[in-house]
Amino acid sequence: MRISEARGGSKKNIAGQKTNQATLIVLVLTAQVGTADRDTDEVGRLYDRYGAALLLFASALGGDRTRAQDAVHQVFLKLIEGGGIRKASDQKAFLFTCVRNAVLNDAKLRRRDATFEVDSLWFDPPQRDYPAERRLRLALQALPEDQREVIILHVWGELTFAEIGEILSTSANTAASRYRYALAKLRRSVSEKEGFCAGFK
Amino acid sequence: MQDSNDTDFEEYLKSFSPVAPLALPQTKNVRYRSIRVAAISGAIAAGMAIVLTGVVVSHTRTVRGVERQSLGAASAKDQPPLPPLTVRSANGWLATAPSIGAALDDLAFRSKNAPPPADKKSAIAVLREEKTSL
Repeated sequence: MRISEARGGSKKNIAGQKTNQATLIVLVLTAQVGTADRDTDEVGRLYDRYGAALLLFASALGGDRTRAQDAVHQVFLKLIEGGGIRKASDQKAFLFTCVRNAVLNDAKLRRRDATFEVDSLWFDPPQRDYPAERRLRLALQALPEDQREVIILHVWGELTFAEIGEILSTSANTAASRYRYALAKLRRSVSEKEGFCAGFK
Repeated sequence: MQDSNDTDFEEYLKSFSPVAPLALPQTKNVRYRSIRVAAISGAIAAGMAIVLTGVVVSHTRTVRGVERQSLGAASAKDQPPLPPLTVRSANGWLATAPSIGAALDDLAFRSKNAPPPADKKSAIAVLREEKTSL
């Protein structure tokens, strides 16, 4: 009787273990799906926060507004599908790096240099001053690419020079130096075109 | 070092806010959500299948064990105990057997299984009746 009871007990234990394993599998899969859901929310939040600056950066690099939009979307959709945004230590710098790579890869595939679209807006100008927006856009487009990258990343991307140096694979001092040159050129260019803001001269 | 003009100009630049991008395409999100739903339902189905398999297997084993125990007890009860082999019983077999060889065969290969019912024949009986020529 004792042996049979022990056998019955072991069978019950085996069945219980199987049930526990199944429950564990379900819990693990549900947890993974829950993590993916949280990642999607996180990516959506990042898109709302940095999407505009990323699109400006992509437009300034690639020239074509539609392709810039596609590059930004491509980066975020990959992040949603593949995850990995939580692994990045600096999410903002990571996003700018991803967008830069996507734009440069696209330009490499097209095998041609950026030609800027004249009519596509890059900014929502203050007080609907669209001529000022056009002046600024043309002044930015006239900058050398390395200086244009730095000024967009620092002013509108709100990245430090150290972060910019990491993104562009250069030193923070070089990034700061490029920024100073770009700012001076930009100010001169914007001021000359309309005799605008004498205080900036 | 930045002078005040640089700072003012930076503020002026920041007053231009970049145009917001279009919303992310929904098709990918819908696809992702459908994959997620499929993953959840698949996981639940797999879990249920494992639980059901475990229950069925354990129940089947229990039933088979009980059947084996009852069958073993029944066959042991149905078979009459063989008489002990003594000189007297050997003489009895020899007296009733048609020949010494048949008596020895019966003594050596006596089947312990229960005989088939009256209306049925065993396979050995059927084979004996058949006349096969090699």
